[in-house]
Amino acid sequence: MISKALAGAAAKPIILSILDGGEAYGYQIIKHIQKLSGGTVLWNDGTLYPFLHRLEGQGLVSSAWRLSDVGRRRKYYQITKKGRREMDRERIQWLAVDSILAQLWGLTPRPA
Amino acid sequence: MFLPDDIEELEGHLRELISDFKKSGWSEVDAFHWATKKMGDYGFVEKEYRKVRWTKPKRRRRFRRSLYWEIIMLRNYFKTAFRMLRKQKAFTALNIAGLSIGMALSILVLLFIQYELSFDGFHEKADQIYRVNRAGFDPASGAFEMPLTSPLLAQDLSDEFPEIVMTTRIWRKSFVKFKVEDRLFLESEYLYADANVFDVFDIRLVRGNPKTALVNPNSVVLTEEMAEKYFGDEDPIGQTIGVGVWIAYASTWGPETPAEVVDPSGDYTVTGILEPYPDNSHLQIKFLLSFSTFYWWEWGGKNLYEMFQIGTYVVLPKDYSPELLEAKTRPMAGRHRIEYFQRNPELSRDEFEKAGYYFQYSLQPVTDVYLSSEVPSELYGSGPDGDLSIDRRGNPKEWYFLGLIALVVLLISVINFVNLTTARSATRAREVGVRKVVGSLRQQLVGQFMIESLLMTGLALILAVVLAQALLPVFNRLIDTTIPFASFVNGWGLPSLIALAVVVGLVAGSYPAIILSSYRPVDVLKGTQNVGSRGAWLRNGLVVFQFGISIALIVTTLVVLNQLSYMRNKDLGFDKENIIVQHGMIDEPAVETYKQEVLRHPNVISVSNLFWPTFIGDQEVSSPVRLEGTPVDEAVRMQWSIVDYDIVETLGLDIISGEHPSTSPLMTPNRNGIPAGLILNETAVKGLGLSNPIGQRLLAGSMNWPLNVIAVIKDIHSNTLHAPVPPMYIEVHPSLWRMRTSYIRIGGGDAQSTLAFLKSTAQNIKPGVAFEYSFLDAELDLAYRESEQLGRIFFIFSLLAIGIACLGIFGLAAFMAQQRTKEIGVRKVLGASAQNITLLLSKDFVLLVGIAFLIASPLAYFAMQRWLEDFAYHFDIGFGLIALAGVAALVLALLSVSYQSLKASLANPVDSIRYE
Repeated sequence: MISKALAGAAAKPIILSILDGGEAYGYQIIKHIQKLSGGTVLWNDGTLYPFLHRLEGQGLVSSAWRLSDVGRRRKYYQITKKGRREMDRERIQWLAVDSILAQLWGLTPRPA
Repeated sequence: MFLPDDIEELEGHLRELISDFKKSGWSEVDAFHWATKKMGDYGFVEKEYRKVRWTKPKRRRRFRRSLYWEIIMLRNYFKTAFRMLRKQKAFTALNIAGLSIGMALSILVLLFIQYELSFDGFHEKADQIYRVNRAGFDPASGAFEMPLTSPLLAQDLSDEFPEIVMTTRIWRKSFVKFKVEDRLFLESEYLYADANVFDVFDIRLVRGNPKTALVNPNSVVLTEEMAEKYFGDEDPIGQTIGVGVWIAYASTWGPETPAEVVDPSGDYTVTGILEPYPDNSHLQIKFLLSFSTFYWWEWGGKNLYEMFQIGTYVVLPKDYSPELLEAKTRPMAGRHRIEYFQRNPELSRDEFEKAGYYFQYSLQPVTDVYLSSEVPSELYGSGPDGDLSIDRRGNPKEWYFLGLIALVVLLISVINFVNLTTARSATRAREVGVRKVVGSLRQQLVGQFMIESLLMTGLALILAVVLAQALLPVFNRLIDTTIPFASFVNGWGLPSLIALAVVVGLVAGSYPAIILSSYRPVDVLKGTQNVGSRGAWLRNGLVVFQFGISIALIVTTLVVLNQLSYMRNKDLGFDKENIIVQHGMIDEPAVETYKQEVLRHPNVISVSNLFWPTFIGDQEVSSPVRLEGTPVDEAVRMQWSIVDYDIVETLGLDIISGEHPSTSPLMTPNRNGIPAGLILNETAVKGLGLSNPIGQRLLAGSMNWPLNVIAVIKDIHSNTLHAPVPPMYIEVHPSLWRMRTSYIRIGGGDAQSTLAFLKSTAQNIKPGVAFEYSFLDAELDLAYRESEQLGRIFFIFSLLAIGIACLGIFGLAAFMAQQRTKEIGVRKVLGASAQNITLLLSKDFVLLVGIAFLIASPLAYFAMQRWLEDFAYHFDIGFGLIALAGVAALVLALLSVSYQSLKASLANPVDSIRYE
């Protein structure tokens, strides 16, 4: 199980990356994460939405209400240009951390 | 916190979860249970939303929006406020007038304090200039600190301490005759100064070169005003002024000073014209004469180290500690002390030092000189003529006092304002109710009341500034200053007053704002809210306070005025009426001729000549006196004077033992061979511990020439009644070799023609002499000028205070009458007479004034009792005086209330009942 703090820190890159793959609504995003993490990342579902609103407030995602095929209104979130740039920045940082840990733990050969 | 969108979004999420759980085979109930659990705790989710919603930009936007509305409302507040003020013109005028009077007084007092603190601050080097004082102990007079030093000190200091930037000397002298051609001018003060005085102080020249103006001996610079007085339209530069008679050392060497010190330095050439010198300096500069003159003039081989007559000033480097220099000068002071005794063989150094005599140098910042009270200004063991260092000295006591009284008046006026504002606001309860019904928020009501009250204080402030400016000349005359109004605008006075106006506005506005805005509109509109009684205790308390202060002020004024009249009428031990004091120096042999000439006039009863300008009055001259053969430290410091025989008749002195000098066999020749004797007063006899004073030989001052005590007189009050009668000796001679003043007792005849006769006689004997005179009783009254000033200020301030307080209860009475209109109507219909009604309305105020009297009068009594202790002789505050103050306050209060009461009681009851 991933700790709350780490899950919180990873929320932004994860959500932005999911949306980079196409627009999605909240429940979809949660399901997606569950599937990818095999249940190791667990959020209170309710807190996803304020987080999405924060990203929207920062201009990283945008949203729109649309009628779903089951006849319910759903709010779909898309990544914005600014969101993509932010995602790239996040990626570089996370990969750097990943590479350091991988080397330290002997998962990849250290560069000479 | 949740917007409809949020709810919908969360609900959608919940539904998806439930349907997913159901798909995996859960019951509807379980699915719902677990789905809500998965959504997370409500509080936690809400917190997360809150975090997002209250990010800064949103908050700012919200604030901006509300500010926008507030500003829109502000216009409306002002509009309604102005309307309210206009609608109740009388109330507004009353309220603003009271407050502005209080504020105007505060402005005046602030100006005064600011002015007093500004002394000598205008010099560019103000924070670097120090005056060198001599501080020490003298067995004959106790601890002392004198601003007077030897003329050699400045040079010694700059030789020994290279860190001193510069030193300069000022020799302040007084009572001189200046001569231009044949005209003589009497000047009360002039200064000798070193050539570099312009570098130390900010003394500027309109004409002439400050670098050279005072370099040459016998140079003088003078103000434009003086130049005009002396030379009229002629160009003053290069003109000559003869410096007249002065006697630097007369005091030190006694009356036997030879006549050659007259006109020591001759004529002075005008080398420059001074800019008018600011008033707020401890120095008063009209003439500056070159100090260098004295190196040309023979000092007479006298010991300059004992000539403690010169003001020495040093300029220290910026941030240099004066304490450090003080410490460094200790050895130098020791050397100077030795010098003093070595050159003064008449005094035994051992005797003095054993008795604890010493002095050292201390540095006093020039900006402190004016306000310091520790350094006495009177000349130390020297005469009142020749060399004086009467500093212009501030009186911190005076401004504590003025400050306090202004504060009190301000407080009264503020209370007034609060009281009237709150009282009036009660009549607006219905307005508040209606406003609330149509949707006014509480904060908007608060805002509106605040604005109204601030608007009034703002108007009062403006009025106060105008009033203060108009009153400043009167105030200046009252306390004898020349404060410019401009200093108010420049200093911290205005900002502090604006702050005060805001605070008063907020305080006065807050009560109605908070209380009224809390009313429930339903109650108000139904009439079930008793609006009048709320805050009544506060109002009553404030009225008691106001009247308490007013009564205290009345008591104070009565005490001060009574004490003044007591002082004026007290038997002083001599007859002060009908005595002309004529000033003007005449020397032998004309002294006696003049006296005999004057006595020929039928209206002149007797004449006595004085060696010093004063005998009675504010004379601060004293000398140690001891029995021949007793040690120095047993000397008693006594006031003294040198006069001729006829002083006894002229002043009507009461000889209680011994003989009149004209018949006394105890008169002996003094050092100059002139017959002399001493008359002591009773206190002097007691001080010396003499059981049989007549015929005792006394050594007075630094003269080593004993004289006999020939008579003892009853104590006379030669000083103000502040101090007990000092020990005093009078040195009498058959006639004087020089006189500066004559006391001339005249009969009931025509004083004007007698004066004309005196003038012509004086000018016949000494052509060109200025004839100056005053009357002794007037001169004595002058000594009480400070107390009189005090009395006047008290009188005016208390008048204003009580005036404001009366304005206040006038307004309150109007308010109360209005509140009880219906009640009064009903009472009248039921048969109450006009007197009944008047009584009804007045009685509350009488009660309040009564309470105020009970609280304030004992306090005032004890405070004034302490004030009176400052006077060695004073009247006793009786119960009558206190009662008078109470009655006065009551009468004034009733007068203020009566108008409203009468108006209410005479009104037609039909109108008042229909009022609702």
